[in-house]
Amino acid sequence: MNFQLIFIDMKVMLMSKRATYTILFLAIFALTFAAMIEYSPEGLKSALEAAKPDGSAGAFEYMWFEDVLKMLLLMVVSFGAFMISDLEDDDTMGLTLARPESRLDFLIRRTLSSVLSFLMIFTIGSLIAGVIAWAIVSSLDLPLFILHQLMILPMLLFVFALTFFFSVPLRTVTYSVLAGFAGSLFLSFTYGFALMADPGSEPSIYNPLAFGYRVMAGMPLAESFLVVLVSTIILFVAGGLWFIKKDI
Amino acid sequence: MTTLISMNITPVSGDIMGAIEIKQLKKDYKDIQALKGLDLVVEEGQVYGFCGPNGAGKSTTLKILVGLVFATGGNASIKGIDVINNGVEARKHIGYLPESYGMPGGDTPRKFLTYMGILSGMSKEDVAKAIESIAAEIHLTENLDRKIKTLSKGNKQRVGIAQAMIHDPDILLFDEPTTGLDPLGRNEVLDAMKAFAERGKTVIFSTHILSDVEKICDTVGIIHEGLLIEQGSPDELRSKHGCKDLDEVFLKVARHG
Amino acid sequence: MDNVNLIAIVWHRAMNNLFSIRGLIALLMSIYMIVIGAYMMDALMEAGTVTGELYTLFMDNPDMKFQWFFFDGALIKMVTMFTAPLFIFDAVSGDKKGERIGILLSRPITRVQYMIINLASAILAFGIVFFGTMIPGYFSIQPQVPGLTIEAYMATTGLMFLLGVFALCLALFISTISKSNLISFIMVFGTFSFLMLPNAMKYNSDAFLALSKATPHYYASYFTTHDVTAGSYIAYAVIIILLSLPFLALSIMKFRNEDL
Repeated sequence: MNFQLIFIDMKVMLMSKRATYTILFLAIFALTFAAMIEYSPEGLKSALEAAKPDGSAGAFEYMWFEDVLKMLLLMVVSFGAFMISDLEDDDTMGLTLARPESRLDFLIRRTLSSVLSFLMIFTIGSLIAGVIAWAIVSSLDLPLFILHQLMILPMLLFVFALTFFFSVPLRTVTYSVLAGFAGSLFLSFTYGFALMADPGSEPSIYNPLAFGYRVMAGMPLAESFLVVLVSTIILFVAGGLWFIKKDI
Repeated sequence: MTTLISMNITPVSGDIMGAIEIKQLKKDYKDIQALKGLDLVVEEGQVYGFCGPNGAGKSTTLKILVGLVFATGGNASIKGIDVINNGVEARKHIGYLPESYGMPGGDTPRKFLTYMGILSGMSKEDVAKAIESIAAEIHLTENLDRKIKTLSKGNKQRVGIAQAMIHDPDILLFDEPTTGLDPLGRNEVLDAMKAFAERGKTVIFSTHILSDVEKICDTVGIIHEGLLIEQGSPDELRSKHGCKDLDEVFLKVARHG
Repeated sequence: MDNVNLIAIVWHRAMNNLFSIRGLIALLMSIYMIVIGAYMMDALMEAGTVTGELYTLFMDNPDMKFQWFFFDGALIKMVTMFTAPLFIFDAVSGDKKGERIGILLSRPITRVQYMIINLASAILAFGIVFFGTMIPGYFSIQPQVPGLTIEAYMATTGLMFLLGVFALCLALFISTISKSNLISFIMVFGTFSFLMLPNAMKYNSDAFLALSKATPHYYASYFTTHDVTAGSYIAYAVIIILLSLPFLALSIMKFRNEDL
């Protein structure tokens, strides 16, 4: 494994416009979330409090959070698509794979550099977002806010893997991000509607994108985390095996 | 800088009515001047080879004629129609093949050519007839119903040529049409252009492959740093510069600009 | 040679969009929304349950007017965030990136016509998917909501379609200014995600209500919580169109004089 190449890949990803946009979106997310909390009238807050079951946050508070979170999904799907689709788009896949590097090594290298880059960008963005949010909502528990954001990382990595999986058959960046985004919307709407139909219930542990809600709502996490982890690994492995075997 | 008179290039005047007339055409980009006052006339029915080093302004000239790029000075006309102010009318008379272009890989050539024909103002029935006729001419018939992404480079180029010819234009503008093709493919493209010209049409193609120019061109124009620096038939240019082939002429002229 | 048959070209391009992966995604998501909507209506209309009380809370509580979730919370989201922009987000940027723009614009069409073709074909494709799912959707929702007349439903649906047209105009503009399909995708879908927010909060915050009135979402969702009146309906339809036109104009202005 050529670690130098991993660092070069990471440098390219970290210096890219996508990285900047992701940090920007995280900041916008924090701003919006904080503004919603700060400027909601007390009547709304107490009505939401009344609607929530014991020990969990209101479904609708999280729905609004989710609207903005979808913007973050956009950035995540772009990272997932860029594992291999950008090479298809600029016709350098053939040139790259003609090197003395196995497809498996190539995939591991790209996975490591993409995931590590994304983790770094997300962490930096979360910190910046947290500071902005705290500046607007002074009563905000900053460490808790940042921790909440970091705890939704498993969910975001699942979306990353989902988009990568789609990118293997669909090839181009455009279709990969579309499929990844559509899949994410499908999963997040599904558990959201189930909650609306039955407020106070817990979202299905088998829905990986419900993990973020569980984090925000203080629900048990262990089983749900396992589902997210396993489904992420399955998607990476399945996509990887498919890529290794297919004609380029 | 060599003047037009000393190079014996006929200056463009209002009396000359060519298929294409370009007068003092200029194009400035941010930091470079791609065309510096190009004068050029291409007579009807000619096959005109447009040669020059990379970055000389060949593609820019063709793109201005097609309306993809906007000139910063001068004017150009196609069959007397001003391309700058009346581009749509001018484009009814031209078929264009860019140097690099994409086609929808999931479509078949038939479907793609049908769309291009309709986009050029043809009826569906006329397009269908034209597709069969052109496909036979350029040996595309057996690939008409295969997906474009499965075609070889040569066949894809045939599809590109077909889309330029589908609406039976008066003038073909081809930007490096034979680059990347095998000798058989190159010959077929050259034959298609020659056959097109023999029907009284005009062909202008830019190229680096001067042997192609020698094969079919009536007139060769050499552009360098945004100006036309030499023009004439292949025989004229060879004897004028005392060279055995156009490659030598090109090297000599381009080096000494 | 006749003048270019723009209708045939628009139809051709719309069909290409529909019978493609993106058309399939749009159709699946639209069907999904209708199915979910019918399910939600069914669930919420059950009397004597927590969900029935929640419905009462939403619709009757004067302190907390919550938008009729199916349209505002879900359908508008899908229409503007996803289904409509899907057909146009890479119209211009995709033709540029795929190097098709030279071949397309060498045809005897103006650049304005090219932009109109893009917009019209996307409206057609989106309209087919949208009404193709909304109209059957009425028949699955109506049994749970006997008071819902076809006129009121189609009026609200019509405004939502116009909201989709707004989304298409804005997405076309973004596609014109962006340099790649990916940036186009992120900007388009991100913008619409963001535009949703004031609308979700509008009845509970004066600040967000004011902000919401600057977006067409307010006008498209108005009749989900108020009676449909003909005059207001026409006025709101005009407002949504007026909010859309500047983006179309900007797209054309940007593209007209651009070197390609």
